[in-house]
Amino acid sequence: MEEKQFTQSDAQNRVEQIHAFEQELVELASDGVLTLPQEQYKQVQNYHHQLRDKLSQKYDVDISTQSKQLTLGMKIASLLGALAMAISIFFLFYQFWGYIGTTIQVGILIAAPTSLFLLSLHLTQKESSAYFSKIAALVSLACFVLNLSMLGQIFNITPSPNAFAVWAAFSFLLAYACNARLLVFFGIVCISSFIAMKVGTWSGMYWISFGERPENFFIPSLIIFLLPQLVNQKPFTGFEIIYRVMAMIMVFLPILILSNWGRISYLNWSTDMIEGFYQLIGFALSASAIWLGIKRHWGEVINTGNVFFILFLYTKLFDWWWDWMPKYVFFFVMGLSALLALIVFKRIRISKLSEGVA
Amino acid sequence: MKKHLLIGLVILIGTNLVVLSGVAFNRMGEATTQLTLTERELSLPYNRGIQKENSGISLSIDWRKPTGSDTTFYSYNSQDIKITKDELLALGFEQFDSKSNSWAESRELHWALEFDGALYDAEVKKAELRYQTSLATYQEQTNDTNSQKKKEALHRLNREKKSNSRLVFLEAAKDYESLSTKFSDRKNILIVKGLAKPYYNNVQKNYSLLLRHLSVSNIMVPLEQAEFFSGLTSLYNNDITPPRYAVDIKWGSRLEPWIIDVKKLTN
Repeated sequence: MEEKQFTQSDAQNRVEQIHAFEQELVELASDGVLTLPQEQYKQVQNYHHQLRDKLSQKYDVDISTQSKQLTLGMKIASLLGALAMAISIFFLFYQFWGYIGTTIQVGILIAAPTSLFLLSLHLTQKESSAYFSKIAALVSLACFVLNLSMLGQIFNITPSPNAFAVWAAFSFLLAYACNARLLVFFGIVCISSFIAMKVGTWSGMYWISFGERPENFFIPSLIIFLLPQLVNQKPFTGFEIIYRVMAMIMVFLPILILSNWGRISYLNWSTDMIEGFYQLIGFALSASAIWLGIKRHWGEVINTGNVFFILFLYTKLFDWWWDWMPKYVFFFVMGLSALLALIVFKRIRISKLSEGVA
Repeated sequence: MKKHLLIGLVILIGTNLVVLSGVAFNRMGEATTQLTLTERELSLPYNRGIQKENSGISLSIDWRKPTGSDTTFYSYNSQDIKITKDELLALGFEQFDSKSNSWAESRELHWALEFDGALYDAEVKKAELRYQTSLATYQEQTNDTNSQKKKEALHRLNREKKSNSRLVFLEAAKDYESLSTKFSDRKNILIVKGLAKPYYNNVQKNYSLLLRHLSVSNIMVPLEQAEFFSGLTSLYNNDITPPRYAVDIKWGSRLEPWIIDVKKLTN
């Protein structure tokens, strides 16, 4: 059998493809469309059997529905376990750091993330599913966050935004080393905060106040959205989706805030003008996101675009009609607008289906 | 995997080296300020909630702004100072359109705080005057209301003399040099970084600067001195208790403080 290199998600897709093929073959045989000769059928069956065993051993993929459900349970358990362990380490240090000298405190703060980082790399090489390595990696990141924030407290250091840059770097490194989506999420949060803080400080504000001007998030969201286009994310399960969804949230939430509270904008226009401008931008961008998602087959982009389009629409309807309309009429109009959206999506779906047939 | 290992170690060890070098740099050379503050200016943390599980001790720096000459005396009123538009521009704030926007974002400025100087003396005098006025009113017209006012004024005077902070905000500037040059001959001036946010009052048509907080508002007590604080509990705002400890503190080149010594005060 030819040796092919897979990623874990590729391997899982292949197993599911085999399962679908077997089911379809049974259907075709029962409808009398196709029946493979016994010898060929056995050959295919043997090949699939061997391939499934191999993929299961090498990539720890789920070869049945039950094992898939168990895997989901394991993922949830590992996520909760990692978060709980990270919080536990914080409180453990908090409870005892007052009884140890400064040198030992610093030693522990440096040794904890370093040793957990080494452990996570070691576990990544050892286990195919990498549950334990992901837990070790997340706890290592938590220890590194604790490391810098505690050094800040011990030595009374002026807080700096640069901490977010190194936390982001470490988070991304662990994410790519252990193929951990949660760490990509933390990496994106840290790097976006850092860029937004830096953009904020260019305008003269104190870095912690970066949230006071939501426009600070536009540049990081653009960078995060473009990143999967520039750097290949195929070997990593679900990374592209996280980048795109996070980038979209980081652009749409500030627009939503600015479209309702224009006075916090950088723009030197009247508040009404700023709010109107961002309302237009919000509708245009969310509609464009839906279009782009359909064009590129990015389901997550379509869904996020949909959610924000509806949010922009409903906040606008609320703005216009809540005060003067009887509430039953208001909610009736909301219901009608949902039906209208349904009709539009249905038409798009039908046109896409007919394109597919053609 | 070797590449990941190398980059990870560089991030972890490199970052810690940079941070610790910064600490060493701050403490090298001559301190920018050295003061002996007491419990009046350095309060213990309240031991409640999540703080109960914290075995470390951080002392919080208590500072105040002077009450204006036209203000009715109250020692801890709001932390905003009146300021002109030109002064705001000199501090580096951009001109904000007072018609549509009544605030601008916060900035980190350098603050000069005066310790136990003329500003504090003025506050004591003001408290004394208030007490004398209320005493005279009471003697002229003895009733429950005036008795209560006299009591309150005496309480405030005692607090001002015995337990209120003597660290008073003096001036803010964009840079350290202008303040250090201006106050170079005064040993009781502490220059630190702090956050400030300007506002425009559309009704009164004037600007104010809200002094939000110091950039480093707490000072960690090292283990060697921590034992001294083990039997002490934090005081409540209304307590009139003479300070129980004095702390020698230095501020380094990065205006970050550290504790040199802690002494017990006997009254």
